[in-house]
Amino acid sequence: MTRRLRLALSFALGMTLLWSTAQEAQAQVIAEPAPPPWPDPKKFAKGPFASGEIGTLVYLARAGHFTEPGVAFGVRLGYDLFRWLDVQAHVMGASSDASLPPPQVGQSFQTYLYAGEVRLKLQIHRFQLFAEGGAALAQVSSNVLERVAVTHGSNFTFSVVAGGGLDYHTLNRHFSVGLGADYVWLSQFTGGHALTAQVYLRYTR
Amino acid sequence: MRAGLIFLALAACGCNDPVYLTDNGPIETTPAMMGGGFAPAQGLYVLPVRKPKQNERMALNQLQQQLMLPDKVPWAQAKDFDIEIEWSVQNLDMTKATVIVAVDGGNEFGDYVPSMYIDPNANEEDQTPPPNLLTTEPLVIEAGTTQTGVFREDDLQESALDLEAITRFPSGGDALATPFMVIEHRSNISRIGLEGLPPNDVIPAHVRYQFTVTADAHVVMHYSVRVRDHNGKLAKPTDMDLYVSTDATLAPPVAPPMP
Repeated sequence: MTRRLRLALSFALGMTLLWSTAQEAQAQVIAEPAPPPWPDPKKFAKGPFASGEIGTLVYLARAGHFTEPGVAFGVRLGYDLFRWLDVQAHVMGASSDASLPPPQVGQSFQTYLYAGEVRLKLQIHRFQLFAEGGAALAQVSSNVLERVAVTHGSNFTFSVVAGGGLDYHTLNRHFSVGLGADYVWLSQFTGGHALTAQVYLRYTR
Repeated sequence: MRAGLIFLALAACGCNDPVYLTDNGPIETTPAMMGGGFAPAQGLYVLPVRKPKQNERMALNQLQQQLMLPDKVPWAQAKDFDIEIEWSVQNLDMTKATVIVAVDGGNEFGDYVPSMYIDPNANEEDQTPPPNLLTTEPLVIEAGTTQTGVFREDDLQESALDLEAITRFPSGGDALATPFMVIEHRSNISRIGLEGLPPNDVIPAHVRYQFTVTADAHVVMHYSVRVRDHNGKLAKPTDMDLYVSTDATLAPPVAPPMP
């Protein structure tokens, strides 16, 4: 063996030993771990709540014949008794145009609803399906619908409210937003059926 | 929360919502007995105002003394009510019709009847009746169609003021001339004809409505009286023993001189 060949073999052996014993390099962690895909619903606030809503009220049947859909505003104040049950007071007001036969043209009126309700809830991660219902006192602001025999002497009526919707919890534990729709039966009004649909913002303390 | 409470308070007070009073029946033109054409049709509607209680009567007397008014203070005052009259006229004929809707009537003290204010001493061509308190332009209504309109709240406030001048305090004591002056002028533009009203006068409301429909065809008029009652003086139309007389005509305290 020549001296040059012995030197080349020694170099190759040294490199092989170096590669085989070298440790792998590790990347440095510079970001926080990703949050879980959904917050824990158990950490959502629970207790007294208030919500404000805006939407529409549409009369159906005979009352719907003589009224146009109106804009509605409402407030709900309540308490989460359990994760699956709320009790709430609901006040809603809506302004509608009356579309009556002549001579009463261009008239409008307001509908007020004062209700006591319960809400059943099913929480699925950040979403919540709910059903709600209750009893109410409904009031129309004038006797404008009396001429067409929808109201009869009194502007007040006992009512039943039933509906449901979808709630979406924000990342803030106090706030959620949602969509809801309710059916309202106005017992003393002829053809007194109505639907409300609303979006809301809810704060739970 | 505060907005909710305000909303509740507004809802509870009712925001002075109107009451709609339906007509006593349609007013329909009929063929004239003589000369062809159609005779004007008339109908009277009297606002149902409740009678004052004893203490309210006493308060009116006290107010008269306090304001040093020469005449009684009205019970049904213009400021007590905001009144609007909605009307519709349907042409029942096969040809188009030209229609005029007019409203006269009066306050609790007396009526204004334009035909009574023709000056018998004037030249024959000047013997024209003064205008109606409220009237429309001539309306052309196609066969079988309906036209609607409104005498607004401010129109009824103005007619109440005009009636006060005509029936109790004519300008310069000239009962015949006053209707021409006050009806032709809006009081917010010109006070012509209102010089006879005492200072601090309490204006009576226009509470009797004499409707006249003049048409050259067979038409029918419907109306509805919308009232916002500010002081709880409106009664139900079905109530008995109401305040304002329902007589066909009510002679005013200052009547025009008889011919």
